[in-house]
Amino acid sequence: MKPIEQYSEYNGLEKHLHENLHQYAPEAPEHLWSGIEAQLPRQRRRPVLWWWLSMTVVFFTIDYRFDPVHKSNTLSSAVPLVIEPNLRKYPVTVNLPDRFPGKDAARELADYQNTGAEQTSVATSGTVPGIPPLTVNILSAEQLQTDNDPLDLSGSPSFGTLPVKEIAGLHSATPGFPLINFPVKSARTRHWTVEMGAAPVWIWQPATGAEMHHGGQSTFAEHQQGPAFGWQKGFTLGYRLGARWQVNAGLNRRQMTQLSSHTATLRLMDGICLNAYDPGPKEYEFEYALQSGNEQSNVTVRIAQVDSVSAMPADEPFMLDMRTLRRSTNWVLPLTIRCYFGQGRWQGFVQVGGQFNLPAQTIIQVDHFNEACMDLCFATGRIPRLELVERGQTALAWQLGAGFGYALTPRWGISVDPAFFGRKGQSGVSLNAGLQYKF
Amino acid sequence: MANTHFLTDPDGLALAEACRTGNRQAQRDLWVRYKNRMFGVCLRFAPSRQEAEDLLQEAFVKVFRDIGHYRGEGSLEGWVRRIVVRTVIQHFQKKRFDIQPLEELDLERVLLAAEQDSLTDDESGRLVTLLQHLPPGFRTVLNLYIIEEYSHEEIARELNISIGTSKSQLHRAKAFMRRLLAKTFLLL
Repeated sequence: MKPIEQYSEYNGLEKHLHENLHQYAPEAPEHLWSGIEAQLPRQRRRPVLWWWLSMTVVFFTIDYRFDPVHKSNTLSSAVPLVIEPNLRKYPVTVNLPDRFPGKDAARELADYQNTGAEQTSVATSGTVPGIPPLTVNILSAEQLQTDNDPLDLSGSPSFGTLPVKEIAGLHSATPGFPLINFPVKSARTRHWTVEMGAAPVWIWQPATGAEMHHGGQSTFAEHQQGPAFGWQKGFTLGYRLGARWQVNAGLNRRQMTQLSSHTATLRLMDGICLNAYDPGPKEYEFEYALQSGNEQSNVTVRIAQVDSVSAMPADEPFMLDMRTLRRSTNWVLPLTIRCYFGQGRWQGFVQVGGQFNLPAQTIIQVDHFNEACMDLCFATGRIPRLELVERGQTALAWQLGAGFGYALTPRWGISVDPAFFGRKGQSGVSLNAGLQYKF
Repeated sequence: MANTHFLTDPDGLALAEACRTGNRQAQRDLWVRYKNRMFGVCLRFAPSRQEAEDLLQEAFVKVFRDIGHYRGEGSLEGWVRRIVVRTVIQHFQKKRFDIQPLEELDLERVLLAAEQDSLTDDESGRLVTLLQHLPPGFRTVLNLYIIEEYSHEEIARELNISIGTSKSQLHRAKAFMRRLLAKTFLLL
């Protein structure tokens, strides 16, 4: 680059052209902007993935903070009196609902640590006929373990050093409190779960390189590729192995669409002239391979010359721009193991496993843009759109995910589980949501 | 590209940063700011207005795609202009440049076509119309050397031709252009 004054051959013509044309700025058509805008990526949105993860964490937190015993045991249903467990050094408090007459007095409980008493009397200030002063027994750990507890608290999370305290008076010493055991069947006793679900899926794979001539055939790698987008739908069958673990196997039909670009550099000598002895315009047939990610498609294209007079040397390279649209249908068989957290209606889980991909078919459309050849010898629009149907290769992929479920009823629930999956040269994410039925 | 040698362009950098984040309004502002001058560049290189419009679209898509590479060194306009010129060059690299003997060029036919396709009545418009009717090789080298101020080495590198070819194309192009201008009395 050099300043205009340093032109050795600077003369009137150059000056005249430079002065008149360097800042030449005619009005550009405004309608071009819509074409540009259509090719621009959409404005960045909030990362959906982080949203999901945040929501999962929030649900875990909520689930932990709310004592699951409240939601699942029979005591809360039978007697509206709950003692929140505390660490030994803090006073034991009693939360009583508003309708309980001795609520105010019951809040004043002795410090378990300071008194060392095994039994604490709580005086109710109000005189309620038929209700004696409430007696709260703080049971030792050994007692808790040996007591014939009507509640199954084995799966409950403990709170510090003191687990949930029982009120002995409710069992025997306090005749005014009837204990009603509602038969609550835990969802965990239902081992099987079937889930119908659907999910948007995105798959990314980097543009690949390829040798120009691979195995004696011209190979052209993609130079631009967007993510594949599609949907999957199917069902998952789960079996509960224990309190926390569940094995899932499923079958999903995944339909994906992917757009990529290739550029082929060809020479006439690479093709076969189909009418070599015809004096009119020549027609050539080229065979080459398009490589996209792990897939390779063999393409045969015929290109006809328009002007037989305009002869192009057989060894002169010319370029064909191609846009490749792949629409694939795969059967995906996921096999995962889930670890559940929490109890009650909300349950979170993490899962790990694999996917087995069985490709059904891939329809490949190749559009050629041959304006590059316009002043060579080919006409625009003479190369038709090619459509190929191929069957891909089976593949194994890993899968990781985390999600949550919400029990609508003891049997029915909904589940949301975003999952990552991938294999060599490819990774993806699916945002599954489904309806569960336990049996 | 004489106007590319600014030290910094903070205003342009802010606009580029906004465009990089996908701000559609900022992208539109950038388009409005530079569309006319870049359309002039495309018109000078392209053989027709239609092709110039296609090139302008293609170039601006590349500008917005690569806007993250602009670091504020030099003016934003200079950076955009380089993208546009490179897009145009890449576009015409795919074509074979006509290396036509000067005597084969029909001066009258070019003048007649230029007269019919004249963009505007002003001198710049008439000059661009004449440029558009030059053979592609002449037009490209003339544009790059005289108006975009590329050196022959840079032209040779960009167009993948030899320096000698660049010089001879320029010489022929100038001779042809001089005859055209003399005919049309545009050059006094």
